[in-house]
Amino acid sequence: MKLSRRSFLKVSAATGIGAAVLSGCAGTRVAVQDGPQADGRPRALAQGEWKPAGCAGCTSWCSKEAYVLDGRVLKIRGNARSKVNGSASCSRSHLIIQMLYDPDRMKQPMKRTNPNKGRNEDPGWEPITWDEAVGMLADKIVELRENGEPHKFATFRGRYTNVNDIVYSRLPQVVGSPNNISHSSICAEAEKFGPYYTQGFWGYRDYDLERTKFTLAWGVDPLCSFRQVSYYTSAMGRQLERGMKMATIDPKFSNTAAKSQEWLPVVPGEDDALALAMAHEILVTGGWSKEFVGDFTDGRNRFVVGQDVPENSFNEVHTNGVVKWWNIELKNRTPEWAEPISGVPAAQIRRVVADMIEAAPYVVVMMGGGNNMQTRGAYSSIAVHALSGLLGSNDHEGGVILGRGASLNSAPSAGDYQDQLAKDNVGRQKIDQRGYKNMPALNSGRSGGGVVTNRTADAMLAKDPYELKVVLAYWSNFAYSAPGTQRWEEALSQLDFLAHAVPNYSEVSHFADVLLPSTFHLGEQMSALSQKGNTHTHVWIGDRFIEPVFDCKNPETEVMWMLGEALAERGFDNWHRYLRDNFKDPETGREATNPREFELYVLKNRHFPLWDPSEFASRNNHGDSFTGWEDFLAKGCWSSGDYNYKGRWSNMPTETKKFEFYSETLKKALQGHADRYNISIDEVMREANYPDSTGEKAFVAHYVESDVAGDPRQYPFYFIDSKKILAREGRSANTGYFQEFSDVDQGDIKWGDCVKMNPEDAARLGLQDGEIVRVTSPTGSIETTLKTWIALRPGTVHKNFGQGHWAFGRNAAEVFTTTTGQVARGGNNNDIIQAEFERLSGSTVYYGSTRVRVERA
Amino acid sequence: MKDFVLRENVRHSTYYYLARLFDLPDAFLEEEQIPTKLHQVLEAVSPEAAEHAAKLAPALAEEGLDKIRRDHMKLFFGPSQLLAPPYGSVYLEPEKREIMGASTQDAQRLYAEAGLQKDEALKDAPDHIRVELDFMHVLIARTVAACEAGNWQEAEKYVNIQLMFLQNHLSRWVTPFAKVIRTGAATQFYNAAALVLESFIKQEFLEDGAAMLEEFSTLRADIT
Repeated sequence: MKLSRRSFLKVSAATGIGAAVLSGCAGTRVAVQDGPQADGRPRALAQGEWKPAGCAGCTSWCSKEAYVLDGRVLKIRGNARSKVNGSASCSRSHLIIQMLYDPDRMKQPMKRTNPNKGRNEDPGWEPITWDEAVGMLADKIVELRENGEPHKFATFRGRYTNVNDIVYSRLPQVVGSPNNISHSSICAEAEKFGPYYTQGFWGYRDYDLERTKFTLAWGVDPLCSFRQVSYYTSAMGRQLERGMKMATIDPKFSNTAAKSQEWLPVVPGEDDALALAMAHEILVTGGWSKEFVGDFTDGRNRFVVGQDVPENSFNEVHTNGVVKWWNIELKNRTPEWAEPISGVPAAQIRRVVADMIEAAPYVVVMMGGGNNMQTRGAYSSIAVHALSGLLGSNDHEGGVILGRGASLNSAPSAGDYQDQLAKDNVGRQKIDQRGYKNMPALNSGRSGGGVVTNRTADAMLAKDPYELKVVLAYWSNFAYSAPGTQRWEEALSQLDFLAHAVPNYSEVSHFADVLLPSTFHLGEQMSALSQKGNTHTHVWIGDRFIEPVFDCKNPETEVMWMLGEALAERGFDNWHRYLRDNFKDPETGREATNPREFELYVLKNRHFPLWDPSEFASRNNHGDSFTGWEDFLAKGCWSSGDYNYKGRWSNMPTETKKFEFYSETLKKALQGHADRYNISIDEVMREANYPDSTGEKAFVAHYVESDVAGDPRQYPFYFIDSKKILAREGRSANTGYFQEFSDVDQGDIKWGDCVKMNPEDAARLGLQDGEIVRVTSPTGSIETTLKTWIALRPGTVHKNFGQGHWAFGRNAAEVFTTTTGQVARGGNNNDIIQAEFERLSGSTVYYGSTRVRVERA
Repeated sequence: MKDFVLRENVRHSTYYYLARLFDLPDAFLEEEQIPTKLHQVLEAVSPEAAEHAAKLAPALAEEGLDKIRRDHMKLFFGPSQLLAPPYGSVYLEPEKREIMGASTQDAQRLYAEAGLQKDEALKDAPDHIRVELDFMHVLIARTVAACEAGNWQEAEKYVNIQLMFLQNHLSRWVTPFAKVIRTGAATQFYNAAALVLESFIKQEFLEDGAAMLEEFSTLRADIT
């Protein structure tokens, strides 16, 4: 063998190299170290282990298991112990692996070196240590407190786990700020409005799908997004085979519509007309539940079109005000009245109602945000939910139920750790203007009771009620996920200090002063979440079972502990004392001494009533029980006991204890808001953008003319927004799977983005399938690919949310640099959806609220 | 033996200095004269690589640490879109574009077979280019030590791991890696670093690795 190069390495040449050169490599920079000796043989795939975990990719919050081999997650499946999702696992969950192992994740904390902020400003990121990063945040908090303005601090929360109370609620309280801004009102607050003002429940409902005979999916696509997608994708087919009927009300032909016997493509924003006609039809045909609602004293149906009914002619049982509702609103709301408004033929309305009555009370009225996260959607929320009341399916077997949760420990009160400065400021008006005269946000019956997430940007820009100066935002990306993104970019550009804790750099990160790379919720940190479905509630917990590849920390626990220490070093030790004193190991009483111990003790404390046998009993918990912490952690999932049907009948937390068709509860809430400003309820309604909803109408579901941004002559198309199946709430677009399988959404395209239009409309405009178009609303403009799509009502265009990132990573964006020249992959719906609100709930609007025009780009 | 040890020490040093080009650039580059020393050792190894390495020190002086550091972050670190992800798995399993892939685990198995692992203090993937280069650096030192101690069986194991690692890892991804560096680099420093890396590993794989094995085998036969 000719050793040409080897021979070239002449000894003479080598000896010429100074000893200093050859020994100069004995430094400490070497990136390998001694490790355990192994035989080097690959381990068989079967030698891995399934580890309990969970998925936080949407609000399904499914209990999962992760298959781990050699410290690497290889597969995901449902945790069969869960009575909610069982072994079912939706397509989204598998993207976890690519998100975990995304090479574009943030690798260590960084600080901004360019004080100018803006989309086209290069932040000049410099890697720093965790101590320096957390110290920067601590400095800013201390500075606010020294200046007597701790209320100018806020936490922004997006996705979260069961232990979020610490960072989200207690931290601002101890610092002295009222400001904790969650994403809730860009999620579902208007959807909760109807259930609250009929049956006193502000939260997600559950549906007894296994026992139902009819499912009405309204403004929701449970085979795509919504909650319990894993379960529904598994159970709906089974139920349809068993003979369950299904109807879907959605302006677009959704995944669920594709599996339904009836698709009712309602005109965007006109759901309330359809719901009222259905209610009318139920009453005139005598199809209401006699058991739940009651009956006429003489058994003769007096619900006749156009005729008032004497209230004393009806004996109501578990409901309140059905006759009032009829007289005030329903008597003339016939299917024929609704047809031209809603775009749904009267005959179809009657056919669907007849099927529902036949199946009643085994009817699931499943309501998402589609019909209510509209500018005037609050009464649609009530109207749709009230159908379950009329049919007697509310809290009934096979109907709409509320779930049965676990009794867990909340984060202990921080009152003893608030100094006078904190006490003086924590009660101030929150930054998001909730409860302002024109923003009642009546969560749980209280004026300003709910968050108005998307108002925060406006408030920050207007410095009203005051200037916000220091923000800790975690697992959130409001500059991408909230409509009117431009306002967020402006507001964040003006913010003095922003710390952003996320796994991947994203749009908000670009405006941050310090980046805190976060662990991923599965495997890299301890996580737990609870959710309901399939008549049960589960609480899943996942341990740390893989070491984070990069220098990441859990913002809900580890970062809090580090912040406590950093603040203490700066002379403010209240936060550290709060954490140390209140989160001791419940088994040993030991105080935490480091961030990971703290995380462990937080999780143990939170779930103590589930895993400790005596606490389980004394707290009247139910369902699965455990022998102790290790047992709970090993099994990774608690499931509740059986649901108690009809337990809430005449026992509802409403003003009347009944299911309220005429809402005394809403009347009281509106009066509370009116009293706050010394105005009438009618004035409240006008302030809240319901100018015609005056008098008694304000207390019943009634027809409200929709309020859609954009003159139809300039913006001829209704814009329909929905979520991509694989979107994982906008966070998964950097995975190859998301892009490669982007076409699992009907009509969508791989590695791209599109707006869909009925072929008739496209032909009329002379637009071709596949060409690049500009979609413009009064709010903004995006460019994307046009796809013609038959399954869409003419006059509407539909676009899924999930693409359009200009900052995220190699796959999510076409070109992303930290300087200039970013090119988003397609368009973000939130660039064109107007930043408006359903003001009674404080909900941001996404649906039936924006018009657009589409032109060749 | 003496010549073998000397040659291996040169290889050992070359891997070390090369690895340092992919650390986050800092004052140590100049203070420890990394470019100059890399050039010196490469002159004894490969004129082609040495020619590229000769550009490093002037580039460092001319372009300055700040510019080179910014370029490093854009190429290898982020937070913006990584122009040249420094992880083997991205190139060896391109269809997935993940870190910690099957190829990463294979690299880790070879580390473990040599009784080594990624430095736990380094919060990055085990197939980061600098870890792989440092692995070769340490492995060569262990080979030499085993030879000097007369532990031929152990030395043979290290030699085989070296060759296997070159064949299954470094040689299989440095070319596409160097290409994306050169496409994305805004500095002469990383442009030259890519060329040095590619030409050195190419020579290691095609010629010097085999030559080392032959020399080792001859040496062992002669002594034992």
